[in-house]
Amino acid sequence: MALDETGSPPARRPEAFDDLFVSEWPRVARIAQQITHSASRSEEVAQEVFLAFYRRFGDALPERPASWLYRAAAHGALNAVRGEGRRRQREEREARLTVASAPDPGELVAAREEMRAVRSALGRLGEAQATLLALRYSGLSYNEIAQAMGVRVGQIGTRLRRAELRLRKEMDHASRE
Amino acid sequence: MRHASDGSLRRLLDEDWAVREPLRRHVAGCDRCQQRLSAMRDLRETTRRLLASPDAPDAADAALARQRQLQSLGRPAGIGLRRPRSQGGMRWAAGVAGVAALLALLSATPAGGYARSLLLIFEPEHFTAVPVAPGQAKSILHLSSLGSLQQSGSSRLTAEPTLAALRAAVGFQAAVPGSLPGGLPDPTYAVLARGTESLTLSQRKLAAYAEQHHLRLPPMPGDLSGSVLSVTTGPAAVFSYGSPAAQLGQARSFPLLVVAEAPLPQVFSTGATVTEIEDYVLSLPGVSPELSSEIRAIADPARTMPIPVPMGQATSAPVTIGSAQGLWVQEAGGKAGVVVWTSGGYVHGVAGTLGRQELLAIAASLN
Repeated sequence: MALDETGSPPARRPEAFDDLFVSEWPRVARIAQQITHSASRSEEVAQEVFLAFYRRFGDALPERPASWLYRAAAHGALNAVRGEGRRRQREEREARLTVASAPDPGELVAAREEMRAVRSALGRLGEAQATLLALRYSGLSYNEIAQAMGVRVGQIGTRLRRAELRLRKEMDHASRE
Repeated sequence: MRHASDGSLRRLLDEDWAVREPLRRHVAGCDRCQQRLSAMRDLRETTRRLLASPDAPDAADAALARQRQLQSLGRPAGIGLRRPRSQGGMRWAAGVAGVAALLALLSATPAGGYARSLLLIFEPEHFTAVPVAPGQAKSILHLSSLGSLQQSGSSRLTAEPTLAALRAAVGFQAAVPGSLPGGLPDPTYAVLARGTESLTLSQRKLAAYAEQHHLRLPPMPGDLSGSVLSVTTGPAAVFSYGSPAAQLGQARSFPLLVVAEAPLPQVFSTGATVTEIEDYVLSLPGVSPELSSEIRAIADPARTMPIPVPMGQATSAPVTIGSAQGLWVQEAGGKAGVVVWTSGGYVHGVAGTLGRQELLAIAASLN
């Protein structure tokens, strides 16, 4: 359990979890969506993240609870995309929604295939790289990412660059197959 | 000078203010670094496109998710998140008036606490002055009488040593004055962390308050009781010239110049609509018919923040800052003033004792 500056466990505040949920849920879901590319799946991940958080901490929030949530969101989303197979129906539905205005069935297929390829590529990235991409492209600042990942802020630029290159390489590789 | 590292160049793309000035200058004049920067920019756009997600989750999704999770946890719905009955859907507001730093300044006037109370009720994008008699504020001020107030996040200002540190702490590029009158001291910086306040409306609590204070209050409509209003504010970036920025909340007098900026606050109601809340609040004893009609006359109440201006103690006037409409409020003695406006998703405020023309010129020069 995290201790505060006085060395005491954090005080319990019944509404603390509710406040955290209201303020952080959109961001947690957005991070998950960067990886899952699915609104419904990202909500499932976010629900699982908050459930796990509540079971672990209850209303006694740890220090920097948001960092814990962000990291868990990326981790949960990565686990989700790595478990390929049971999402087929859902992703077809999502792809249809994504290009609902496009009458061309070819576009539908292409969008679906690209989403699947990106998820697959993210799944092949190391956890740290995929997490970094999800956090950055869901809008976290370098400072917030550094806190969430437990690294120095000065390292984020280099790591981000490498993760982007790796994702492109994985996508190129997939397109050649 | 050596070429910029990959890490520094990459950060330059996203957070240029965090990169040291000599390095920025080098990159600006170095063909090789520019080529690398351009390649990084292309890669960033490619990555952004690949990772783009339709329909980013928002607060409405959060509320619905919370409801589902409460059910799954088997917890009593103490925070009572439920779908609003109105056609307006979830009442998230890209409102304006929640910048706690500015409210701290405004709280030097009797209108301050008043403004803060209304903040929770409206979804403001514009400011409008509402003249009130000095004694009127009290009747609405007791938000705690209407339910349970909860707060998360610190309401204290934290000093930051440099502009770069301030920007890193708030996560956005806080605008700085492009021109200042001569002779001003160097600024000091402070951050007000992001915070959430929520009010759970409760008829039971209202009745207890009325009994305790021997008041005859109109009963809260059943639809209102149990509704939760929450507002998320900040982080706010605060520059202060002449007084330590981190001590502004404790200052007894207005500082020379304060510049503040924060993302628009988000105001959320899980049940009641703005109109329902407004109707009830305006029915409370002590709200004069004049004040009630002033507030009801606001054309777009869901997006307009009424700033109560105590008659005889302060004056106000609409002003234009660049292409934005703002509101100027000045103490009756003319010693201090504040201008507030919104631009590009942020609320800005410039306040101090420099005088109206100087403050408005500084506001217009922010970049």
